[in-house]
Amino acid sequence: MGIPDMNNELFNILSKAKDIDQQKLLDYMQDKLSPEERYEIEKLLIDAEFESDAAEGLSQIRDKKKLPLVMNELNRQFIKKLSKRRKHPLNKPGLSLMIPVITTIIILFLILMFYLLLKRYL
Amino acid sequence: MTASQYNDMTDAALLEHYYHDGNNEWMGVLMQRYTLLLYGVCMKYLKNEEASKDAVQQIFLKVIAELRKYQVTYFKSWLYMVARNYCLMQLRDKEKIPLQVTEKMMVTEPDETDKLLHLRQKDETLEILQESLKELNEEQRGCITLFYLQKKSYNEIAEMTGYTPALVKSYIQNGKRNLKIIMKKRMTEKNSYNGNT
Repeated sequence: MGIPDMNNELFNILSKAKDIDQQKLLDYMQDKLSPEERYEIEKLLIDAEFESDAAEGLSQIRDKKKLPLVMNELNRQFIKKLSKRRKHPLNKPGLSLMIPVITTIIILFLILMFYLLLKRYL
Repeated sequence: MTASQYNDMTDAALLEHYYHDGNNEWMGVLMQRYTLLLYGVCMKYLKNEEASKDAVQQIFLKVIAELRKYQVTYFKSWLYMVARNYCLMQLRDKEKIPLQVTEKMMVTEPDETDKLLHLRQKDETLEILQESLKELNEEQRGCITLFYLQKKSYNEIAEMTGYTPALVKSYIQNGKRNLKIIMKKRMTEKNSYNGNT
């Protein structure tokens, strides 16, 4: 390794966190990557906290061949739950303010009507 | 709707669509990007495959409920925090141990602007880096050198040193963190020295 190359490698120590593709991580866990690809993933794992924790957890799984099946099953269940839930209007601050205002107007209107009725018959 | 149709969309774009029309399908696409990571994090803490599968489903639902209440900017960091907190709560309930809030639990902006990297072109930085490397303890320095300079994998370093692969990764992560601290200190000292002269 020449000095410029070595300097480049030294600067790699200062590298920042990057995202790891989910499929790549799955291949890494299933030992399907070449040594070079494996090294690249391990380099990214040093900085990526979420992926690093996940890799640590996934390494405890006995049968890693089943991982794609487990992923499909989890996704399927999730989509099923989502489809059961109707489209949900998100809480908008405007709407939450409108409710007490409209309620107050209705109450005032009813009081006024009651007053007018009393005034007419008494 | 299949997740692969939306590969080109960023998390932020999917979230924006979701906040705009409240359609849960955007959430489906977004969350499926993280199924493996969530399952892995749950496995790390819960150490049980079935419990982890259940936890992933609970986290999915929790995320949908929470996103309706809060405007989330950095989805991935936030999701990681939600997942970890959920698992720690499960452990706390199971073992009755108090949940300690650590700095890591806070949602922070991803480290995208490492100031040290802006100094990359400077020979001075390289010099400080080499000097700082010498200050690390033997284990961390050894693992960092083998990993970054000799491009050895965790398993290869483990075979060479006798440490476990998990310990190798830990030495590299901690070594890297310490190295940055030492470098920042040295740079500050150097700048204040230059300022005085």
